[in-house]
Amino acid sequence: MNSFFEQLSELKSRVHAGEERMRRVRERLIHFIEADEAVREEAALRHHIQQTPARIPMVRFKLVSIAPVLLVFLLAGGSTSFAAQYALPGELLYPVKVGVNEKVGKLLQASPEAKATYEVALVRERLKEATVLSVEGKLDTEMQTELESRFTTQATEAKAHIEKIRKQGDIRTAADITSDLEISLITNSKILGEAGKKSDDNTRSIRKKVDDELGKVSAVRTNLEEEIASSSKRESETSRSERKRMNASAFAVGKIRDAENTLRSAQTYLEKKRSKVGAQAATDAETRFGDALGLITQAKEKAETGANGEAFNLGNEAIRISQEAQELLKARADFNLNVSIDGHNWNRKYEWERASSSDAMNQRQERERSSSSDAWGWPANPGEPGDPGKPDKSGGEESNTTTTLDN
Amino acid sequence: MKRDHRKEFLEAYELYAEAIWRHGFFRVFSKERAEELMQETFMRTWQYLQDGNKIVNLRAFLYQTLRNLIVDDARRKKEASLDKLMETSDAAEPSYDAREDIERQVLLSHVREVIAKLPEEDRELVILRYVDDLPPREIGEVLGINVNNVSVRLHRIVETLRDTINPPTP
Repeated sequence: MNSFFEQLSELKSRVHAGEERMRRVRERLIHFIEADEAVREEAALRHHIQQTPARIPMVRFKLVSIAPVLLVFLLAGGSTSFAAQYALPGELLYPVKVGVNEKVGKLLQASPEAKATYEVALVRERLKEATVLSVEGKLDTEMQTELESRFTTQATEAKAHIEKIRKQGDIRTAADITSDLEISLITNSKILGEAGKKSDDNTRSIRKKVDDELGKVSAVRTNLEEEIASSSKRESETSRSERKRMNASAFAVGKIRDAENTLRSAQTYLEKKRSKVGAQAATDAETRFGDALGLITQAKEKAETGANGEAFNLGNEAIRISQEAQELLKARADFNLNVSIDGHNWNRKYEWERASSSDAMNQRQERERSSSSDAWGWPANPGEPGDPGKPDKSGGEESNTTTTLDN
Repeated sequence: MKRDHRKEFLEAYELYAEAIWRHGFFRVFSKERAEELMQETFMRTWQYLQDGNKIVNLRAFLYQTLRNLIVDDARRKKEASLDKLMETSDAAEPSYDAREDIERQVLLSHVREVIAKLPEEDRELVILRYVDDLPPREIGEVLGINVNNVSVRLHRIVETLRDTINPPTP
């Protein structure tokens, strides 16, 4: 068999999705269709209610008669109800949100990558709920306990899926998702720190959980990046395959473009919200954007010299800085929180020079030196493992042990 | 009425899902990713129909939707194809009978290597024609180009592939 087309035809006849896969997706589709229909019905009902003038007694009667129908949708068919999506702990629809909507959501994720990404989104959602409740002064002990429990479970599941991706050899994807999780933890730690300043023990408790998790996640991300850098170096030294070198280069170039896009997006956000976030925050954000730009420049230089793994990691660090700044700006704009934008030192492994704003960097360093509190605006506890202000201690280059997400 | 829509849609799933999955597999060479793409293709198609839109040729529409998803995915990840195509992890292998595993892996590896060398748009065309067995007219519908253009491009690709596999002797 010589012809490519004969080989293709032969392979085609042997590749099948398999009955189990077909059945699995069919089931997920049925779930999806039911949820979609319920959401559409509910939206139509809401529209009807909004359009109906409530002054006329007859219409009032109609409204009353609709209520049980709506309830049926919410309890039976309305598994992804609009209303439940925005529910907070303590509200009637919150159990629907976490017990039905999110469970259906989980069912729809097939690959470890999709599952990990979904769990990270759930972690983010739990922390957002905590922030909203804290800002509104509604975070009681029962809610705090429930949120902490769900946060821990979902962070653990996210890490388990990431570890699976890592074991499958897709280190870059594992690093990307870990990096996303880390961004959520670090920004929410700062936001909760600000929200809980008024002696709110419940918020402090959740923040402590976040910080504990952050220490572990930062250590794993650092290890994954080291793995990327060393495997890329090994490949460039030993691989005779031009294709492999091209692949590594494509990954690095892709990551650099990603970093540039993320930076642009964060800069655009700042321009839109400049008046709302305040002058100092805007200046601090610009300093962080200068940091990100410096890393992107350095990533490009590394890529040009063939150090693709390091270029990839530098790109990821630039993404984290831009996203962190944007998320913190968003917290200022949305919650009116006085959270500071001067950022976290994501990775001390890479020494870099900023492409611009060197004066701004000096100013920031001066501020850090003169600040009496730690970079987190929270009383420092230097002896504690997993201190997010000191990621290198828990798993950075000083550590000789390999940290995995199984920990 | 609603039940009828659902029934028709699920019948369409039985009819086209395998082909959509296989197309996805030959584009991304990952069983799981192909599964996600297939699922997302059908979900989007369902929503399109539920939004009140009409679809004349469902099969062509499914391929178009899948195509958009693959393009979006590649754009989002920007680290797409070559490395993924050349992956040799178990997860990337189709389900084979264990007895013929070695022979089939060699076959897969060879086909994958040739496909990986093709530009993205040629790869898509080859798979639509020689894996999905779509006629040039329907390929034109999926890709939004006329049928003559499809035929000319296919002819050129076949010539190129012939040279790739059996290089002309000097």
